[in-house]
Amino acid sequence: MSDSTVIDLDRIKETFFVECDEHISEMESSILELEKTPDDTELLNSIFRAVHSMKGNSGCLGFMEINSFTHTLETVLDRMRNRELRATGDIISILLESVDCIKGLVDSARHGRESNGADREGITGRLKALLEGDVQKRVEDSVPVDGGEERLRVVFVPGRDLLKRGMDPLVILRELSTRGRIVSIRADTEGLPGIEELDPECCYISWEIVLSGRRDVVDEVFEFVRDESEISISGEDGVRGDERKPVPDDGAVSQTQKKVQVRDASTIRVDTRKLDRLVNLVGELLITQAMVSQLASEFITDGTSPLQRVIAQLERNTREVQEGVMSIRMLPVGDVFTRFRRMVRDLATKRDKKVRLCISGEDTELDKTVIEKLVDPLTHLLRNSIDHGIEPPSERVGKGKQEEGTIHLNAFHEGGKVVITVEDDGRGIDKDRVLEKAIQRGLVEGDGGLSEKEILGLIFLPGFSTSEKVTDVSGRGVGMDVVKRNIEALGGSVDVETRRDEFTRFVLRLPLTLAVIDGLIVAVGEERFVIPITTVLESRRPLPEEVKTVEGKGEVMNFRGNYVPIVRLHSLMGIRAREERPWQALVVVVVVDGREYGILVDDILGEQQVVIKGMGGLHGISGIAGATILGDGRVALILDGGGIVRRAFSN
Amino acid sequence: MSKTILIVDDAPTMRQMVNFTLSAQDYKVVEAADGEEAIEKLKGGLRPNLVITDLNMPRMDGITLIRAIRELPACRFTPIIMLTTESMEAKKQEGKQAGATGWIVKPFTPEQLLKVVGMVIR
Repeated sequence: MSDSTVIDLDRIKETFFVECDEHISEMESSILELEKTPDDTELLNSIFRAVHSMKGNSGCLGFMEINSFTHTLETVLDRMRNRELRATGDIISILLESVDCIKGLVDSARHGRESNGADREGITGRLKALLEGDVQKRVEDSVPVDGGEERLRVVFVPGRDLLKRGMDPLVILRELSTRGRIVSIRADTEGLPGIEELDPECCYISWEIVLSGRRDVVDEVFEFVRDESEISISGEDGVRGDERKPVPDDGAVSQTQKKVQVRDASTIRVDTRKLDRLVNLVGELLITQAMVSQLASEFITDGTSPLQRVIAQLERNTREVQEGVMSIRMLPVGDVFTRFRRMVRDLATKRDKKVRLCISGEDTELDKTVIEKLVDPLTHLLRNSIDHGIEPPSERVGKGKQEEGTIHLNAFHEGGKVVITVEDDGRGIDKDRVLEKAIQRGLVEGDGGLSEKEILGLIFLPGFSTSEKVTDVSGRGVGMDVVKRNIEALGGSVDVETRRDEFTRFVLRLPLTLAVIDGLIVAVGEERFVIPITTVLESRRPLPEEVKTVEGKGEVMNFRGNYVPIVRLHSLMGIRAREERPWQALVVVVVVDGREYGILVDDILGEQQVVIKGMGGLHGISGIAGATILGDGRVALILDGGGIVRRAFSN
Repeated sequence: MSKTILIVDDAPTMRQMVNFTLSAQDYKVVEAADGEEAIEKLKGGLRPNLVITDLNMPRMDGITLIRAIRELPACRFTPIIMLTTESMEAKKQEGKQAGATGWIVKPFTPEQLLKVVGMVIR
């Protein structure tokens, strides 16, 4: 085998693995659906097809473990389709475990590892147990019963229009000669019309062939022509007892033809690194375009100048290219959402609770990176809902609620952001207990005089947990603060709303993409910084008497009746400011972790979309989220509010 | 000269599997991801000795493709194999009406594929 074929095979295997992943997640969600509607033939068919396809492809590629396991599973599914087995809870569980097993097998195959034989044996045993006691009705990959060679007389009268379907009688004769030893061929030209009536595109000749071979093998040659042709195969003694008419082959479920969901667009798979590079290049393009605009503006005085028009055109085109490229990275959140079905089911079962997960808005699209980073926070919120939100069935019935709790996972667009909500109809968050706990833990002084909203905000503080019982997944107090931090790191925000015994709703607002942010461009001395607009509350020039220095808190500014700490950006960054007196400069008020801080800057230069550029090895500098290049070609650092505050007040 | 086979399927695995199997037997294989792409290639002068096509595809499905191929003067007699899933008897009939030469039921082994190709290719 040459090198190129080896590489090809690797590529095919990679495609196979990716397709397996798709089949696996499709199976999983279909099985979970099936639990609700056990008689849904469509669902069964879709599970069957997924398994069927993996079986076929794994066999072709030599992954025999996957092949043999999917074969067993397929047999069970076939029974289910034939209504010999019903999708009871037990069977659903076995099917889900089978999915896990396939996952494991595919994973092992992908990494060339040994698979866990014990697991597979166990589940295979249980699958086989399901099949036992039943009569093996399935037509096993039909092995010809009779293998004997005999001398056969074949009469072949081709259908007149055979050629028009691309079939050639000569091809059939050629094929016959490869499947048996031909003794004689005789062409019968009786059917030929006169030359003036002859249509050269029609077949008029028939053949009689005597050959020795196996009847089934010879018969197969006529597979594609039997409908319109006359074919007889008989023993050479001349007994024509075998007039054949077509038998519909492998009669399994031809009636349940399902309209297979065709993806509405053809797709190609692209290495994400290529996409990242493209995004980067678009960033460069945006910057270059901004530079051109800026340069041009210096000598355009007349608004009707052709240059002005061309520049405007360039701006539009660049923007469209940017949007186009960004949209390539967008994926529907549904892929992530459906993953949770399984988790919710398993966890609810573990906790003896009844929980239904409703999903909507799964077509809403988000940047791939954002989606990936959403998995953990969403997992946490869902676990919280099951652990703390949804009550045990008896308690729910006592409250006059439905025994089964509902968690609603929803996604939608709102004002240039994607909003994801996780809402349960459980017991709600007990604000009194939250406050009590917060006081206990020293997170709030006195009763704090906090508003309801502020009290709820306490659950996002590090080290907070109201659960009486520590479970293995939530209730260790390492939850909500991490969720909040993760979401904020994505440039998003988390809010919570709740009503006692009615609902708890977490609202996540996320930017569409991480590659571009809306930023406030500020100047400090000769430097330029970008403050993400999402964190900015307002900017103001305080009056001299509004600024005070408070013992232990440093410099503060009176802002809407509260004193907010002032962060001097110039001293933090070790640069010179043009103006150090707050009442001569500007204070930008930002919200970090629910608290307000003032950032002292010389001036605000404007608001614009900036492209976040990586900083190579300079990752993890506290206070800096990245860098960008402004229209005038200058590099500006993008500030990370949380980091700035931590850095300023760390000592 | 080796014979050319055009494989039309939206599933990359299937195309690659067919390509891999046939290339190993010294067939020259051309791939298309759907009917429209296939027609474009044929109109562009491609003269395959055989077309293998899936039935369920976006943009232009297999049945429509088969009809369109038979409309092309150069391809009136080109053998066409359709890939069917399970046993779609009705679809098979529809395909034959449209002008398909033969069919193969998915999933199939490389051996089965080669066998069917051998039965119809010229």
